[in-house]
Amino acid sequence: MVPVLTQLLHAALSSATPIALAAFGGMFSFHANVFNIAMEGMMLMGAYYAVYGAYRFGHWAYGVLFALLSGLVLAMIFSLFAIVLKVDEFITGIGINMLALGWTTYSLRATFKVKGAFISQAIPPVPKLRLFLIEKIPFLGEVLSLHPFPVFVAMILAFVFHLVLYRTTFGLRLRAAGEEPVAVASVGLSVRLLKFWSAVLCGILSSFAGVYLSLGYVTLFSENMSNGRGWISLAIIILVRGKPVPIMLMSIVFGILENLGLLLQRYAVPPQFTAMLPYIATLFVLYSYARRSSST
Amino acid sequence: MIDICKVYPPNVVALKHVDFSLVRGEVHALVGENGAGKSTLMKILSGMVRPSHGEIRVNGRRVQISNPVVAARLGIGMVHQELALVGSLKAYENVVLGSEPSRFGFLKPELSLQIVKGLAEKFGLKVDVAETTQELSIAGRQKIEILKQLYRNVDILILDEPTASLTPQETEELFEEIANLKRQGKTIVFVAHKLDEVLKISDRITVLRKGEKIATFENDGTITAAQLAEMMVGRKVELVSTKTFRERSHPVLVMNELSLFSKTGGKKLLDEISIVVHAGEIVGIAGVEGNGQKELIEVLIGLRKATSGRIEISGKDVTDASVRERRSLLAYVPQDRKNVGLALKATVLENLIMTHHMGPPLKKKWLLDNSSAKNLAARLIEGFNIVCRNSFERVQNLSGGNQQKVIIAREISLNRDLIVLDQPTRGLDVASTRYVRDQILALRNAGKAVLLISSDLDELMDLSDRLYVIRSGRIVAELDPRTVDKTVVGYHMLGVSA
Amino acid sequence: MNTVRSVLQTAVAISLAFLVAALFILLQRSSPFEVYRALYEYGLGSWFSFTNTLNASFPLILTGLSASIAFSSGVVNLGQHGQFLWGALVAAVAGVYLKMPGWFGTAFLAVLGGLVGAGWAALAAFFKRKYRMDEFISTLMLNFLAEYTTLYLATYPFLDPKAYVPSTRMIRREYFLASFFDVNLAFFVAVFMVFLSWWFLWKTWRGYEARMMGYNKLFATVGGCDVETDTSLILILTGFLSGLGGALLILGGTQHRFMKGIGANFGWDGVMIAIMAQNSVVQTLFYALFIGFLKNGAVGMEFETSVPSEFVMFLQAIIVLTLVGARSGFASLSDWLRARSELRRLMK
Repeated sequence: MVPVLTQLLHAALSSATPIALAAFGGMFSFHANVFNIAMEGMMLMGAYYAVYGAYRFGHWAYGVLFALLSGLVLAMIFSLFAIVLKVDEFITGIGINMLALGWTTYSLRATFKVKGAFISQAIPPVPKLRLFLIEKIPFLGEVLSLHPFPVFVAMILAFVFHLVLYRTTFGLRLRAAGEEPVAVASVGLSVRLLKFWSAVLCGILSSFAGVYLSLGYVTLFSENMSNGRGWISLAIIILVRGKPVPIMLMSIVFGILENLGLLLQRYAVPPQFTAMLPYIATLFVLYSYARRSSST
Repeated sequence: MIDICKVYPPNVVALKHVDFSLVRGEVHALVGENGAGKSTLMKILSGMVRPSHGEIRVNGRRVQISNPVVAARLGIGMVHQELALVGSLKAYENVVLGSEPSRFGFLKPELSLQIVKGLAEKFGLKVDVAETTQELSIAGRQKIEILKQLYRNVDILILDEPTASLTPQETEELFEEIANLKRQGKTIVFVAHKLDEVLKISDRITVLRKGEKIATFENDGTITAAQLAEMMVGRKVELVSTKTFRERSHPVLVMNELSLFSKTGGKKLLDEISIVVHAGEIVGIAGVEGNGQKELIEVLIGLRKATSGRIEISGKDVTDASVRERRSLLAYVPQDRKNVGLALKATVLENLIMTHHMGPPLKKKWLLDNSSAKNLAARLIEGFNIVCRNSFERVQNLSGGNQQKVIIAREISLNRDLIVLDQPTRGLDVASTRYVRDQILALRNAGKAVLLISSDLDELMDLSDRLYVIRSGRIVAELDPRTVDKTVVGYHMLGVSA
Repeated sequence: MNTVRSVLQTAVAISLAFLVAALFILLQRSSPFEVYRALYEYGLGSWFSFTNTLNASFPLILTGLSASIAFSSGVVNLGQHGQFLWGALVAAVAGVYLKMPGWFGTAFLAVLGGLVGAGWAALAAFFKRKYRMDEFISTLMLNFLAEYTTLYLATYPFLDPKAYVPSTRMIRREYFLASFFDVNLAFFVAVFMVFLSWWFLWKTWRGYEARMMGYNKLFATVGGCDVETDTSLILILTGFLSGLGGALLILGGTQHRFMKGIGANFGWDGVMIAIMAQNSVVQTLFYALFIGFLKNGAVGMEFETSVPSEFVMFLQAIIVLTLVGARSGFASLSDWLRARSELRRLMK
């Protein structure tokens, strides 16, 4: 029983990482009161360019570089439309998602000359880290050790971002701008600039989530790889009201559910049904959130 | 400020060649009716808005006040009418926002608190700066706003309609604080349209009308409120309504021991409220904003269910009725014009037929009778003199006064026995205000039951036949405005024994 | 005057989008002229391509209507994909096993598909009404559930053992929708639904309430509109439209069976069409045809030039973004210009 459990939790941490990273990105937009739903597209873009950069230049670091740049570009586009041109944020987000889907699908075809997915042994994945000391701890050690490094980055970021949001001037101003932009404007700060930074953070974090998807979780790129994770991260942000550590915890819960599905497959449950678990979970999350807010 | 002009896109001319000057250490009142340009002029001075034309000189030097930071550096700060505070932050956090004492980007909360506390003591502002901002009263929040400016070392402090939501007692306290600040060498600009207050505390008065400056003069005791009003509007204005005595008729609205607990069960938002409104009378509800008026209206309209108690309209028990059911019995002019009373992007016609569409002649089984709708709209636009190009114009293009007319026209023409009005004249120019008040009186004289909620005590005293005072969710007094003095009402509103 | 202005704006914006896309084509070392010419020729250039475009458009018209009506009523139904799939699957399976007279069967299957789509959307309506669950997320999640469940049903219980990819058997021949002058009847059904939708929104009182809800939900509630019932009604009606689209694809499309991937991007394309059409029913028809033209032309474009057909996906996204960006930009620009002229008048 125990080895199954450790395996499950180990895999859960792995699955949780892209969701948590994207959620951290969306979290900043949430606090700035920007209805940013472009995480899905930014993640997808990041995943594609991670493979592109790593494959073309032979090292995973180039993958990270290209991915983060692509996320930055999408963030700029988002800001141009939603902040400067004042297009509805929802529409802008959907537009970015479609842009990412269209561009990556097309590029997959045009650059790699394949349809569906690009798989190659020559794609260098991001390195896994062995935590030598923690490894010795029974049970916990096996869960925590031997992950691609973004997993650890995500966990650390949960605490870092908590500090940023609640203990720094940037965090204070961001939250103020989201709640009462007039107050922020009245002291001479630029609400638009703060929103811009929240978009940039979202782009970088979501594309980094994409890096993990295509260079860590698996080592390939397939069409529409993000497959709804951006939406799930959005649901999580809303549920925990944008708090960093709960975001991490909720993402782990989702990770558990996603891998529970894979576990069930061994018992002859058709794969289509097990694949539905995370989405059913999101519905349940939505349900409990709704229940909770109507009783406050 | 010399030859200031401002045009807001697309075509709103807010200021036309306005000159305005301040002398150090004075209290200068800037008066004019709503829409005259007072707020805009001060927003330009405080850097929130850029002028389309003109120049500003501070201490003889020409300056460009491009944003509030520049204004702050010049020693100019403004306390807005709509308080610009972040509710969930602590009061002292709001004061230091933007110029927080910090180290490497990390905040220093204890130091901030200390600094703000010291500031409050120095200038005699009595408020708990460690409290969460949304827990403070409006008067308290205003003091935080003033502290915000003092923290930035303002010399020129602009107060935009500061007494709009204050009780008479709180207003007195504010005047003392202003005198205090003056003694410490600050210059105060007092933007207002309550003329008796203006005459009380100002050294000089400037009058604006429709974006132009009419006059500036010393307040040396020779000007009367009536003269000021005439200058503000351009013609003689009747400030007080004439009401004839009416016999009380049958009750139309009965709210009996209405209580409402907050969702977490802790706070009692409404405490056994009992209110009766008869046909042909205007009943006013006075109270400091935030004492239960919002919840009372929500329960009355049906947006919220009371925890206990009964509501009856025209004899029907509506305690559990839906909003739709209640709307067939009452008309409602909401406080929030833009978000509740209107659909800004919809046409004038679409806004006018709301609620009318629930029954004949507009509703025919499944269909909406478009010709009846057009007829109704045409009738109302003419009858209520709504200024618009045609009924297909979007309501957002209308002026504030006309937008309110749309709401009033719609609700009055529903011809319900009960009409509820919440802050109906807030932000309106004098002509529209007069118009609305006349309409309210006409309803009363026609035998309708009118429930009037307003934070304008003068308005309530002027129009109501009977006046309830609400405080902390309870009705604490039922008064006759003809026999009772405004300050007594103020005492009830604040809970101070006379 | 307003309509002329917005048509001009749209024309400028679309041209701008094609220009931007042309840059990307150049980066591909292809000629934009060649590409656009091929696109045109295979999309509209001949009677054959024109009718093909119309036939490609009918699912888009329906999902586009679904999204437009929902959004204009303030209901965020993003579940077109799932509702479409269910409509298609049920029509495909029932079309194999039920025996009915031809024309009746066709109509029956179409309506059945619509009802199933409506039912799937009704789930979201139920969640909203009973548990106050936001329909934005629930319809999205239901999409995934629909995709996996229909795939399962097509892969195991209803699988056609002779098919190469997971797919159901072909439906009975008598249910195939006929064509009228090379244009499939499905197209006409879709256009009819456009009229029906317009009638609902502008001629009924529920339609009025729905539109007002879309402008301002609080305003509608306080005005006495039964917002809860209206929301459920809109979800169900728009679900019906998407489901109908799916069923018609089976009945009037080329495959007449439910295969993996049959839903393609119809759902999201519908959302995109609604955005471009600014939720107007009439404009939805136009943009659906436009996207149909692009999709249809894309196949030929790939054939003639070396630009892959996926490029059209990218082109679509550019068009949407440019269109919405240009619209906002024009609005701000004209406001700014009018303010300038007012100022000049003041100075005289």
